[in-house]
Amino acid sequence: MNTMTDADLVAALRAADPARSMIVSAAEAARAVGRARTDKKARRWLLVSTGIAALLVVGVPAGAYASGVLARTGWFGSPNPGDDRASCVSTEHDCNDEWIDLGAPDLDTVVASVYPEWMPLAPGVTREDLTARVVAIMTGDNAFAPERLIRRTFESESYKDWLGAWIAAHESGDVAGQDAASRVITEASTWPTLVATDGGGVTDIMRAYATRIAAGDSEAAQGMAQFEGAPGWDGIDRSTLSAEIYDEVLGDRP
Amino acid sequence: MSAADAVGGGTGALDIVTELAHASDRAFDDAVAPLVPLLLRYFARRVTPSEDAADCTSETLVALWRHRRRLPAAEAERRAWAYGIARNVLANHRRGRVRRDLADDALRAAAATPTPPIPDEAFIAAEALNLLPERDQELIRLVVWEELSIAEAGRALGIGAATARSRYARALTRLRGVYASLDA
Repeated sequence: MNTMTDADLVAALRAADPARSMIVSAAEAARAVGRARTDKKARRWLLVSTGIAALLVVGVPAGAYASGVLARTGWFGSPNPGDDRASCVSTEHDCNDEWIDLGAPDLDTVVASVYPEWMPLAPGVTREDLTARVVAIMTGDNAFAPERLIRRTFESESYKDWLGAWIAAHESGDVAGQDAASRVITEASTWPTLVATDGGGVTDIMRAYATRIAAGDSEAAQGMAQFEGAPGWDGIDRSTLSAEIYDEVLGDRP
Repeated sequence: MSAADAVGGGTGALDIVTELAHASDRAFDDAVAPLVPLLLRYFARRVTPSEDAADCTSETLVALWRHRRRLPAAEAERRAWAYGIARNVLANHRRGRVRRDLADDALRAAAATPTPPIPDEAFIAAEALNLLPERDQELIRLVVWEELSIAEAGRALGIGAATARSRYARALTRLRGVYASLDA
């Protein structure tokens, strides 16, 4: 057939509709809407507090398992079996990001090798302490992770330390300590891996909290400490305040 | 006099507020539930694997609920507006940013409905559609599969009605040409 009317062409396309047999009952539709109404913005909470967990590998090719001994697998790209190596599945890693075997015996050496020399440490925290903590966190996941996740963990752990430092300084009336912590909390929203792995508004939210914290708002500091699991949180739920800040920052962003 | 007193006092005021909230929920449900099958099909036509369509649909419903104050009252406008939001969710899906645990099993099962065999001319038409520029493909899909008017499809794509009409006419001409070359 070389000539088709528009009507024939449209009819042929309608017949090719891959979803033409899909049926959703009224009850299923109503349930789906009700579920959406009660979602409670779970996605927003996930942005900062559990963003790291989302980076873990969902599948690793057999070749990567075969190495088994060294943390550096020599494998880059998408973690999904069958994907093109040049493809990437999220903003949290890129094609130049090597997958690290978190169960390998030399993991601590690899973690120590990516320590961010430039990063300020909170009072009382040493490089060795922080590195050991990052190793422990990574080992606990017992999976594969992109190298960038290790860098991010260094940054996010240090950020938490500084939140704790601000809270401690505020409670003890240490104005200089509070100012110093406040400066770092503000700068943290520009730290390279936190910025590079920001899948949607995380650093904007950090900045909004930092502005409040810099103005001496201990409720904001406590709210962020709650969601980050940072030291110094007093155990009081501040979800409402955090929801306000999230709304203020993210507004109508989908 | 407190605000509660002004409304009717104590528990009565709370009841009224609660009832208003429930009425608002019901109005949202009534307005959006008919969109669910449409959205599920919209995503099933555009995402792989098709089961992801259920999560994308649920993500769109969450976005519609968040933006409910701007939900158009007229059904046709509401549909076009919902497809506009779905388009953003689709872009997020392609960037790997749609949650995987949102939809319930019934919606997943519906999304996984197998496609029955199609006639030869339908197969060629689908192949021809895939060979068009993406913006032409999307306009045709919205009109033919989503059954939007050309103006509504234009609104969903963020273009004016006149532009949508001329673009649709050109897209259909291109489609006919590609179809003819494939069928030669």
